[in-house]
Amino acid sequence: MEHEVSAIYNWLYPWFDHTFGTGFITDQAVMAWFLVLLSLVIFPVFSRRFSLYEPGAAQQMLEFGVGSINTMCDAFIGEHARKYAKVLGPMAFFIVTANLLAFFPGFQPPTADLNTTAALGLTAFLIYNFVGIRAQGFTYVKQFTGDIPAMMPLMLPIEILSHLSRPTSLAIRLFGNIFAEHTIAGVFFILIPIGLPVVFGPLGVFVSFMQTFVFIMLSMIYIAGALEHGH
Amino acid sequence: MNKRHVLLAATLVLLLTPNLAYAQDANVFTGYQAIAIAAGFGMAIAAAVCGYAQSKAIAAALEGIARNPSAAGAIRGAMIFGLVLIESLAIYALLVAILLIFMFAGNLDLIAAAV
Repeated sequence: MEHEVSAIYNWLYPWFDHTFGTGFITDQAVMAWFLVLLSLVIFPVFSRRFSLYEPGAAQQMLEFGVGSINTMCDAFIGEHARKYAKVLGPMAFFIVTANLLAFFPGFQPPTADLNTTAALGLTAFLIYNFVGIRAQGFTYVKQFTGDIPAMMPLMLPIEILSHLSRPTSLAIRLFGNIFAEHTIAGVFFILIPIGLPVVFGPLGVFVSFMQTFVFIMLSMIYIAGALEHGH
Repeated sequence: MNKRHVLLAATLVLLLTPNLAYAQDANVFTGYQAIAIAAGFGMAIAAAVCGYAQSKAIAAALEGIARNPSAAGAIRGAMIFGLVLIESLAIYALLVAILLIFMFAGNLDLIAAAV
């Protein structure tokens, strides 16, 4: 089954293949760059019209998003939570917009490719490990050994394996949901072109928001778990 | 000879039935039956168990909301989080089924030829 590509990549791929070699720049990379350009355009243009007493619709939507991320950070991480919200907020915006690109004709969701979701999972993994090391120093590694030092040869591989399974599960969960939903909607559209594919619209939007919510909440739980041992 | 023996015997008969290989070329892929059965049963079992587990989670959350309606927001948030985590296991099985079908047997021309 051939993989469908976005309109921009379909227009530009001869130039990409000629300049950089065949297959060096993929469709999901182009879509991710488009998303970065979109946010570079959206946020400065909209933030010029922000007002304190007469908020418009876009300002209220963005305030709702920022407020919900701040609330979740306070609930899970506790004190000094807002500085982690500054990292997780843009990641949440990236994930939710990347998932919702599936529903615009001529675009493909960059998260329908395992490379993008693996990068996001690896970023979350590095974030919580660096936060733990910065907060506690070298004693962060002691949580892998457990309470009794004699049990270390047993606890250490199990703990390392469970920590390595976190970015893997984050990446595969997001990739599986978005890729499977997109592919199944496409297959149903081939088989029954009228009527039934309408069902996949709201379902896909719901799945996009839920997957973002779960990704960010799991990242917050991992950060909280990295911070709690010690103080 | 009770029910357990009958069940065990039936399972063994089904699993040990040999896959009859007819006289064919050496490089032709003949595993379409096995892939269809594996993908179908794998996803079906994952969906069934996921449905049972999610029903237990929703039932517990509803009971909690019924007992303490003022905590409905927190309970609902925890319920959605738990549901998505359970569903992700079924999605892993779906990924394996899709991988099997589209890497070995995904040929939409077959559908067009059959119609």
